[in-house]
Amino acid sequence: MEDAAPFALLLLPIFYIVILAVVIFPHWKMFQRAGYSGALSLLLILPIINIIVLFWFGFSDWPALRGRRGGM
Amino acid sequence: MNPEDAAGALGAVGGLLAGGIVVFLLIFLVMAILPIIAYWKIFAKTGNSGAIALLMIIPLVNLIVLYWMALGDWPALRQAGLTPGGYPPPAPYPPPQPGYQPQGYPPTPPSAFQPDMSKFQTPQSHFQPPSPPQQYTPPPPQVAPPAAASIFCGNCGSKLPAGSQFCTGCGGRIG
Repeated sequence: MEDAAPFALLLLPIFYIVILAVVIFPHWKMFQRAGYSGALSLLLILPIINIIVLFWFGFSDWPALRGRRGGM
Repeated sequence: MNPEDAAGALGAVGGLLAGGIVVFLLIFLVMAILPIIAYWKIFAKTGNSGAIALLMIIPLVNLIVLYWMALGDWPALRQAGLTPGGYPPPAPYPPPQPGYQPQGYPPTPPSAFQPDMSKFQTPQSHFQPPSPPQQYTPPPPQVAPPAAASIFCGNCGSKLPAGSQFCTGCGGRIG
């Protein structure tokens, strides 16, 4: 029992990081394809801020869509 | 403590509980609905259906949807004219300058010299009849060829239409 607890505690941050990476990666891709820096997706880790970032992303004018067809 | 007081206390506790539950439900709903609205906008902007965002409520399915959206097709990008081969087609070439005669049109009138081709086209012969002499005409002023029809992403090497600002392959900024 004495050894088991620290081992489980070690696994927790690893799980956390893996899950985080799995969730952040698609957002990173989407931000990049929209024309923003993928690093913006790291803000999604923070509570409350993530909602703000998502809304800003949803309602902003994506640089990638400001193509040759639409003005510019 | 008389019965009326007890009932009042119970009612107060019940009211508090009910209030707490209502507040909890409201917060839960807001926390569930807000991301859906944001994802709806995002998915709609990619050119896909915003209703796909409703799938984001379901655990695990939301991950699949995210990856599908991140890596799948974005029709909106094609419509921005940034992905070759999509509809509508990439932006047309700049209009030719006035006086520009497209090469090969109108067709050059047949010259008077008409070699008897049957003489030359025996199966064994690779002889090509000399082309009839033609008067030299200066080539029409070159319209700037559609300035460097394509460029390549410095990051992933994807071929992109000139003027692209962002790579459609990796999403990186060009230049």
